[in-house]
Amino acid sequence: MKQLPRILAILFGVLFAVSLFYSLETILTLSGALARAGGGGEPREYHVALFLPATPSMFFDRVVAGATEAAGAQGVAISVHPIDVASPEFPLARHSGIDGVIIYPSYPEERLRPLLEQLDSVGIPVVLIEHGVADEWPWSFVGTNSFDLGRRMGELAAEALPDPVNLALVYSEKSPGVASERELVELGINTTMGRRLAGPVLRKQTGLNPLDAENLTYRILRDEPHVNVLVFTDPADTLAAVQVIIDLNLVGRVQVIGFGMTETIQNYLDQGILAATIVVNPRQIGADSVRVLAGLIREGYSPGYVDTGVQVVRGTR
Amino acid sequence: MRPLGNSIRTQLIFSSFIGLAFIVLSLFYILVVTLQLQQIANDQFQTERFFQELQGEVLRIQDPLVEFLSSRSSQALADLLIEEQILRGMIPPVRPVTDDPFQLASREIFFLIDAYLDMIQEAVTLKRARAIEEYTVLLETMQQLNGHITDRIDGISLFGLRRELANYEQIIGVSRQLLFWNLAVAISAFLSSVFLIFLSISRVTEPMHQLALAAEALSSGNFDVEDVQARAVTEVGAVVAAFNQMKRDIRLYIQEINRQKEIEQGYMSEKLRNMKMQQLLKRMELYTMQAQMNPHFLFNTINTGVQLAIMENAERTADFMEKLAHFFRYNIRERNLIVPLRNEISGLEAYIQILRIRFPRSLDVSLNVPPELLDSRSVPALILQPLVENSVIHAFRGVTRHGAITVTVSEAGHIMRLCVQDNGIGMDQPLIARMLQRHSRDEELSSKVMGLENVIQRLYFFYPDREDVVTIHSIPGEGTEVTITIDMEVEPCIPS
Repeated sequence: MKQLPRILAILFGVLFAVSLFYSLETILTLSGALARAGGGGEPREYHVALFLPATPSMFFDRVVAGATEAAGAQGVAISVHPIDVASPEFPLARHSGIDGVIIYPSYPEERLRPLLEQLDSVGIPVVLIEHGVADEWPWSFVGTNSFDLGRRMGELAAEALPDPVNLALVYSEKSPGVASERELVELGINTTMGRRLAGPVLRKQTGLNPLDAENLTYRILRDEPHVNVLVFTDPADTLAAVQVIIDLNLVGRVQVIGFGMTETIQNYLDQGILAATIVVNPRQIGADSVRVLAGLIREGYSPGYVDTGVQVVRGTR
Repeated sequence: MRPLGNSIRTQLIFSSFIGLAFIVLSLFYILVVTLQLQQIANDQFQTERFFQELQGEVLRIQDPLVEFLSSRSSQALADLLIEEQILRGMIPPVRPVTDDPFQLASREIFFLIDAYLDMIQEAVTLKRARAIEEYTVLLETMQQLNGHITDRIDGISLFGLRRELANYEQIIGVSRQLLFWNLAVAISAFLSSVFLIFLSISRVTEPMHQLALAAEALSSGNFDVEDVQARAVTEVGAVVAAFNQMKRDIRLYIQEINRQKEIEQGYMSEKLRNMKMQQLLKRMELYTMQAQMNPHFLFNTINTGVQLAIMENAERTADFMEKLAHFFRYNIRERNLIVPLRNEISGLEAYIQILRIRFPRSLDVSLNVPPELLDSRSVPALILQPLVENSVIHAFRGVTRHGAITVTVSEAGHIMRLCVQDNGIGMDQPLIARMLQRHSRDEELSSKVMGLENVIQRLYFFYPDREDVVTIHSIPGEGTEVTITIDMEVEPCIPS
C-alpha cells in the first residue's frame, strides 16, 4: 500500500507524457498537413495553359488527364481554362504569364486566328488539338485525322450491310472537334464508300444534352425510314440511340456504328447490338499536346502534326 | 550549516513548486496549442482576405483612371499613381511555377495585374500625348482586363474557399482530438502533481509515524526494538538518528546498570564472606591463644617431667614425655594455615609415637609417605592428626580385635591424596552424611566444631569449589577410610 502513491505518480506521469506526445503530434501533423495543402506543390519549369470548351465531356476529361500526367513528366505546370467566345479569358491569356498554350479551337476561325497570332507575337507557342485552323502559318497540331476518321466510318458502314447504304451521321456539340471538321469526315466516308452509298450522307447534330440522341434517333427512323446505318460521334449519343433501336426492335435492320468505349458499349458490342465503335484516344491527345508544346518552349521547334490515330472495335456478329 | 537540499522546507517548497509548475506549464501548453490552432484556422482564410483586398484595389483604381483620362486632372493622376503603387506593392515580385492549381491561378492573376498596371502607364503616356483614339481603345481593353481580373479573383477565392472548407473540416476533426489529448494532459498533470506532492509529504510524515510506533514501544519498556529505518528529509532524518542513538544509549545504560548491580552484589557477597572468615580466624586465633596459654605451662611441666624421669632412670617415661612435648609443640606453635607436608607428617609422627607408647599391643599405626613429596608439597595444617585421633577415639570403641590405622599419602598427576584408613567399627551413612554436610556461615560462626568435623569444614573452607575434597568410605564393622583429595594446581582459598 505504501508503494501505491509512487505507482500512481509514475502512472499518471507516463500518461502525461503519452498525452503530451500525442497532443504535440496532432498539432504538428495538422500544421504539416495544412502547410502541404496550402504551401504549394512541386516546382515546375514552365507554365502552360490548356484551353478547352466548358462543355462537360468524358472526352475532355480524358484530354485533361493525359495532359496533366504528361505535364508532370515534362516538368511543366498546366492550368486548365474554359474557352468561350463570350469570355475574355483566351484573348487576355497573353497577359497571364504563361509560357505556352494548348487550345481546342472551338472559336470561329476568323476570330481565333488573330488571337493565335497575338500569342505568337509575344513569343507564346501554341498547340492546337483535335482540329486545326486553316492558316498560312502551320500551327502545331495534335489529334485525330478527321479524314481518316471518316474513312473508318465508311469502311464499317460498308461492312455492316451488303445493300446500298443510307447513312445518317450524327454530330454532337459534345464532340465539337469532329463536328468542326465535318467536311473532312464526310469526305473520308464518301471516298471510302463511293457507290455503296445509296444517297448523300444525312447530317444531323445533337446538343449538349446526353439524351438528345434518343429523340433524334426516333425522328430519323420515323421521318427517314430508308436510313439503315446510323453513325454517331459521341459515346452518350451512341448509348441513347442504341436504346431506341432496341425499343423499336430494329436491331439488325438498322446498323449502329458508335463512338468511344464504355463498359455498356462493350456489352452492346458483345451482344451484337452495336456493329462497331470508333475509338479515338483523348488521353493520348492531351499527353502528346503537352509533349509537343514543351518541345516548342524548350527547343523552339517540334513536330507540326501528330496523329493520335483511330481504333475500331467490332461487334460479335 | 545544515544542507538545505533535503530540508522539510526545501522539500515542501520544491515539491509544491514542481507540482504547481507542472500544472501551470500544462495549462500554458494547452493555451499555446489553442492559440496555435486558432492561428492555423485564421491562416486558412488569410489568402482569401488578401485576394479580397486585392480585388478592392483593382476595382478602386478604375475611378482615378477614368477621371484622369476624361479630365486630365493632376489630382486624379496623383490618386491614380498612388493606387498604382499600392496595387504594385500588393502583388509579390516572385511568382514560382508549381503544379498547384491555386498557385498557378494566383500567378496568372498577378501577371494580369502587372499587365493592367503597365497599361495604366501606357494610358497616362497616351493621354499626355493626346492620342485620343489609342487611349480610348486601350481603356476598353483595360476595362475588359479589369473585369477579367475581378472575375479571376472571384474564381480563385471560391476555389480557395472550397479548399479551405475541406481543410476546415480537417481542422475541426483534429481540434476534437487535440481537445481530448489536452484534457488528458491537464488531468494527468494534475493527478501526477497531486501524487508527487503526496509522496513528498509522505517522506516527512512516514518517518514520524515510524518514530511514533518506536516511541510507543520504548514507553512500554521494549528497548530492543529495531532502529527506525526511513529515508527522510534532513530534519526528520536528524530526529530519527537522534531517536535511534537515544534508544541505543538507554539500552546500553540499562545494561551497564544491570552489570554494575551484579558486580556490586558479587562484591557485597565476597565482602560478607571475608568478614565472616575474618571473624572465624579471629575466633580460631582466640582458641589457639587460649590453647597456647596452657601449653607453655604444659611444656615446662612436661620438660620438668622429662628431667625427672631421666633422673629416676625411667627411660620410657622420659621418651614418652619427650614425644608428647614434641606433639604439643607442633600443634600449638604451628600458626601457618598452609604448611609443608614435612611439617604435617612430623607432627603426625610425634602423635603416632605417643599412640605406640599408649597402645603398644592393641594398635598398629603405619605411615606411608613418599619422601619426595615431603618438601615439595604443602597442605593445610593439622588435617591428618585429627583424623588419626578420630579413629583412635571412635573407631575402636568396644572392639576387641587388634586395631590398625594406615596413613597413606600419594600423588597422581596434579592430584594428591591423603588417606587415613582404620579397621574399626565403621560409620553408618547418616553419620557420614552429617559429617560431610557443609556448614552454613552462621553455623561456622556460632558452632565450635572439633575433630573430624573440624578438619572437613576447614577443608571445605580452603577448597570451596571442590566437592570431593573430603570423602568418607566406611563399611560398618569393617572399617573407615577418610580420603582428602587436593588439586595441587588450585591455590587454597586463604583469607588475607
